[in-house]
Amino acid sequence: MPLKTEPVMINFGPQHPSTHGVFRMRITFDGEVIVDMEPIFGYLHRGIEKLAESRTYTQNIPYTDRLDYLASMSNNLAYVMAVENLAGIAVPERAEYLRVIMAELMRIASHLMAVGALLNDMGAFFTPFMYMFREREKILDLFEMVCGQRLTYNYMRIGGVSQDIPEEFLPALKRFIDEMLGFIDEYDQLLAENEILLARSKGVGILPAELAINASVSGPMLRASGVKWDIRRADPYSVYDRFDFEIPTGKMGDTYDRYWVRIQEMRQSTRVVKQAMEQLPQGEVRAKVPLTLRPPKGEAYARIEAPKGELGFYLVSDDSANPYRFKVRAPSLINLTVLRDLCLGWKLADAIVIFGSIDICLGEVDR
Amino acid sequence: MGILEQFEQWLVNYWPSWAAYLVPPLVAFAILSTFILVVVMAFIYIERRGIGRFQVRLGPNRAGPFGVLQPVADAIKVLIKEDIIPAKGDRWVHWLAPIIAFIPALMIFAVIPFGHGAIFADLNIGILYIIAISSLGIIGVFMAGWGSNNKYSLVSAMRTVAQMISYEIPLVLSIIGVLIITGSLSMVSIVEGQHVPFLLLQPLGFLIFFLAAAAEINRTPFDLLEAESEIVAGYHIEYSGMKFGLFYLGEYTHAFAISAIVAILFLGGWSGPFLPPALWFLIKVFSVFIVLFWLRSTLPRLRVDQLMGFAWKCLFPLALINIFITGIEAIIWPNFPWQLLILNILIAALLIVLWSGFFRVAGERVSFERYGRGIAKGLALTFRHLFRHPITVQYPEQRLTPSRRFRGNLLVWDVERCNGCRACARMCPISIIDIETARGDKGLVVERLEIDFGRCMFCGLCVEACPVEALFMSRDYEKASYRRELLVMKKEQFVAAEKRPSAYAYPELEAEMPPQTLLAPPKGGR
Repeated sequence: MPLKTEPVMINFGPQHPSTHGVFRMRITFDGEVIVDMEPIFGYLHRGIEKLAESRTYTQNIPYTDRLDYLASMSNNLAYVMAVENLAGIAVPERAEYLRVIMAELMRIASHLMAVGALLNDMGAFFTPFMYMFREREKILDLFEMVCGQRLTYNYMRIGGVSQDIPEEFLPALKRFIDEMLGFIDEYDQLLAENEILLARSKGVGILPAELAINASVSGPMLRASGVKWDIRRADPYSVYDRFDFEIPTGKMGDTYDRYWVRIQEMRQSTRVVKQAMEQLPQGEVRAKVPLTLRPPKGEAYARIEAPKGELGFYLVSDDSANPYRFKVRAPSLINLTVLRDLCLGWKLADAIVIFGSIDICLGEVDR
Repeated sequence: MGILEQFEQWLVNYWPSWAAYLVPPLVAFAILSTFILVVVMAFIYIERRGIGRFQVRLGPNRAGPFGVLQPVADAIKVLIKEDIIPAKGDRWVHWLAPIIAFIPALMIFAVIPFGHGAIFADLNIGILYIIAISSLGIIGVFMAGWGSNNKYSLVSAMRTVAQMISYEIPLVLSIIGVLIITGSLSMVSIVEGQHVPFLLLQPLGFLIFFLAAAAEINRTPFDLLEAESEIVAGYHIEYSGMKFGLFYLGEYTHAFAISAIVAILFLGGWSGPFLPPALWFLIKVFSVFIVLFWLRSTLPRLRVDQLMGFAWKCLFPLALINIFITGIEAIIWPNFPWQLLILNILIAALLIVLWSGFFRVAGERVSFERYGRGIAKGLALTFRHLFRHPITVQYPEQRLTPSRRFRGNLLVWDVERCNGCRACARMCPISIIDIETARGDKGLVVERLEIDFGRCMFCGLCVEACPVEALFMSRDYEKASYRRELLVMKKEQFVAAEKRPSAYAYPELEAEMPPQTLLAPPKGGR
């Protein structure tokens, strides 16, 4: 008698330790092999896009903090850039540099979280996670020093940043940047040569460049597939055209490449911060912009290279104090659309790792 | 003659013979199980504290001095928790599973010698008994997976069976080398036959046994059946209360037993200079256990197919080769002189290096240099962290100073300066500032001011909006209440509250404030 197996549907989430929030996957698998998968999201939907339509342009800045709450500074930046495009506001030089420093620190912090959580998904018992948190903590300390908050910064303002950095900020930042490179090397020791990590991630969940482009995937995930596309270079915003940095790209587009690209990007970010610190000019940090702004009729789109990918804000103004339309192009959501293609045919444990390597933030996926 | 037999012989002079033979084992069992539980508690404590230090945390340190009572507190919690049986689960199977999982782990100790003659029963088939008994616990795990009627549990049960069957074989085969040398299955003779610790004489056998044993007791990197990040908790996902406690206890008892077996088979059991035998034995057991959780805190988990491949392609053939080599050595040098250890270590190293070359990971040939060094570097890194200062703090006693610009709760309101313009209320993105004004002698006077701190998100926009510098963020970061209404601050409370304004939006206030506690303060002081 031939043995027959029957596919089983398992529901992962919305409450599951490895779904990085309230995400749900309905996985059908045969033995341990995934034959079908249906991602379901919307459990964290707060209607931020609609809420924003009844708030003024300045009042919306704290709301953008709550999109990708692991990269609030980047969200702030993309949003205020959109409003500045809409209203045609020039930003003081010093503010631009501060924005770049904050955005790059935020990238390091977000990548630290991504890599630490990925290792946790692979089954490391919180140790890499804790080391990552320790480093991230130092960045949060810096942010707290500047804007008084550790998670929801609300630091960028339309036409600049809310306040100048305190005098102890630059020495502390310098120490952090100096130590960060050493930490990344040390961390590489723990993991990058570890056979178990390689076995779990090499060749797992390959995202071909073609599929990545067709699915409009962006950020480290796209670069891991070998596409050299970074908005900081492709469409330079703020003062990014003044810095010298490389865009690391992967070869295969597998989980290991996605991990590796993030590690390399942290190194590049420290380079950018270093250069920005050296070039930081004196002067005003905030243009004279009223707190209640009424941009002229029209529409504007601004996009930045957020830690997770291309983050864009599309705003339509109808000449009132509130945006008529507020649309977020959230990288997490769009990167997540390839999840099913990546996971099919892999094992249950791989699905978790592939999902972790996409690095999403549910606050941004569901909005 | 063992202590137990001596006790029996002595007792038979005074008591009827049936009582003299029945009572001593019961007494011994009571003592032994108490001792095991105490050691298991020590294990749990050491592991939690140890992993804490590997992860630059403090670890549990609240219950009792240095947190030593933490396992006791956990036990009390587990005992008083509600016991839940899944509605559609198999009641009896669910109920029996934790017992079946726990008892065999306890039964292993019947043949574990703690010192000269300090053994419950010196069976002449001691090691065979251990192998037979320790596989029984798997049935309990499988029953738990089946009886819970939960798919995660079922996946876990499936993995358990596959993993245990695979790892049982190299586990048993790796012992045979030891048995060839000693020529006995009895645990006592194995200890007494170790003129050199067999770790040195049987390095390959030791490695295989250690890895297979780690898989047997589900320690990382082989903890697939619990796999927190995949199947949440696996087989015990539907268990609560003391039934979960039994699984937990069983796991650690099993870990104790396996560490003890490693200590007996490969580290020379109780033998050692100067210290009393039982102490030597415990030192060895704890060292083995510490290595186990050191691995746990460093390595990620294998995937199920890699796990099986490791057992069948790597451990199993190497164990066979080990038996073969030991057999040849037994013919040539029947006494196994200690000089043989040099040869054996060389053979083991050569075999591991050669064998690893057979494997491919993602199309690349595995090289021992890379993976051996990679794992060793990782272990060295976590080890170094043991001696670093933990980054977590004892919260209520030890407080960090927040940033000078901290946006804390409880806005500081300067009633003198406020002219009731309501700019703050208009600016608030979530409209929680309720302010009513009346016309007074010198312009507007605030009659009512209410701010709901249960909803406030501390964005600081109200402070920035205030045109007369009457509103400040505060540097307090603690606020808690059991009732939402109490979080609504009223005008009188604002006036009466202690004023600790923060420099948010008012950088000129920064000068007299204490500096922020930083994890990495800038070099050379502030």
